[in-house]
Formats: sequence, structure tokens, C-alpha cells
Amino acid sequence: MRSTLKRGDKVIIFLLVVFAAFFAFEKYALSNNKISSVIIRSDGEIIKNIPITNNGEYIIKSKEGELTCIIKDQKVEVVESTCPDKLCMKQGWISKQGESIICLPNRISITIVGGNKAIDSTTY
Amino acid sequence: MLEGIKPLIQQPTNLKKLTYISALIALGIVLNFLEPPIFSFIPGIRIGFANIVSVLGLFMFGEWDAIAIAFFRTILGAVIKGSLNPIQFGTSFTGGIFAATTMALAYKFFKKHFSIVGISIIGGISNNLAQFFVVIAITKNNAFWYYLPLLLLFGGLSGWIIGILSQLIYNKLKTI
Repeated sequence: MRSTLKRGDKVIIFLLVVFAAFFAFEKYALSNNKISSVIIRSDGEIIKNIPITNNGEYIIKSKEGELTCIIKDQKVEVVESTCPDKLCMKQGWISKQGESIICLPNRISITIVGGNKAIDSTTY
Repeated sequence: MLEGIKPLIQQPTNLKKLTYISALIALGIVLNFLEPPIFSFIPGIRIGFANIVSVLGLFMFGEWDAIAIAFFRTILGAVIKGSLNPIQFGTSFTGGIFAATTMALAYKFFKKHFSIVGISIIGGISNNLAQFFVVIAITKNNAFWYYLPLLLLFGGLSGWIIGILSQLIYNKLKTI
């Protein structure tokens, strides 16, 4: 197998590895950022903006369906959803800046945002 | 014989090719159906074993047949599933066709520099890239951009796996 790899293959595999390393580093750097709130969007529009410290259960409705998410100890999880594939529930807890739970059938996304961004979006 | 009426089967020599392509399309549809419950390590991310048939089609019959296989595989798959859900069908159709097209281009112009594995990696990355933009276009949700690098990375990795599998299958088929 290894001997059949040509030069182009090696170049593209090398690029892939460099990209992976860069991505891992970026993710590591982001993981230390402080998080402040949870933004819930449906069809691209913000429908809820909840501070991450507001523990509790939230029911989110969209045109396509609804889901229930829980905020607890600075983490978010979807516990119930009307969608057929339940990928949003399988994803489990998210807790880092930029991470999202996205439910495609329901067209709902739950994103965690960090420090400055959240302050901007809460000053109505 | 009347003039102007052509025999039904004009080129019997193409029968073998036709059979192979039909078998590849059928195989692609079946792989697509069987995959999700078995090989989904992370929710929403799949290896996409169905792309094996596009890679095999490309190396066995050439550029246009690979694109045709991707076209019929995704359309027939959606017909059998019975749903033209814009996200499900849109991602599989666009991803399949775009991957087959980029692989065909890479095959046509850089055949000397790439083996099956390299071409398959290109296909895996372009598959995920196309699917990403379909999802962005439908949902208009910027939260997805965060996952773009991860998607490209997994596209490359699954392309690698598919390339190795395709190489093995191709070597076996060559000896038939």
C-alpha cells in the first residue's frame, strides 16, 4: 500500500496533517476563553439569549418543531426533541466558546458565546 | 430489414461496462442505507462509504461515468427513501456530484501525481465542503462556520479510508 503512494498523495496527506495540528492548536487556545451566554437561533434569527449562569430547562419552538434544552453548571444539553434523527440529543453537553448544538430538522441552533460578544448582543 | 430502424442493442461490447456501472450504483445506494447506524462515531459525521463507488467508477471507466454514477446513486437513493427533504437530499446530491467532479478533474489533469488514495482524499474534502455550503444556504445559520475546519478534516480522513478501501477493491477487480 505504502509504496503505491505518489508524490501528490504525500503532499496532500502532509497538508491534511498540518491542517489537523493547526486546528487542534486553535481549539486548545479557544478552550480557555470565558463563556458568558447561550444564543438560540431559528432560521438564522436569534430567538433567545440566555446567560450561561441561568440554570434551568428551556423549551424552544420553531416552525418545524420543538426541543427542550437544559443549562446547568455552565454547560448546555438537548434532552428532548421532536426531530426524527435525534442527533441534537446524541451530541451531549457543550461547554466551550463557539460550540453549537444544531438540530437540522427543527432548524434550531444553540451556540455558546464568550465574553465581549454577549455583552454587545444583550444591550437592547 | 427496413432502413432507418436500428437494432435494440447496438454495441454489445458495452454490456460489461453497463453491468459494472449498474452494480456500482446499486452498491452505492445500499452502502448509503447501511452506513448510519453502524459507523457513526460522532453524531452527524459519517465516513460516506458510498463514495467508494464514485472512486471505483472513476478509475475503472473514467471521468464522465464517475459523475454519472454519483448522479444516479444520489437520485435513486432519494427516490427509494421516498423523501426529497431539502437538507438530506440536497447535501447528498450536491456533495456526491461535487466530489465526483473534483475527483474527475484531479484525475484528468494530475493523474501522474496522484494515486487512488490522493484522489479520494480530494473527493472526501470536497464532499464535505459542498454539504457545508448547502446547509449554510438552507439554514442561513452562522453557527456552522465554527465546525468547518472539523468537517474538512473529517472529510480528508474519511477520504483517506475510502481511498485505501477502493485501492484494495480495485486491485482485486483488476485480476478478474
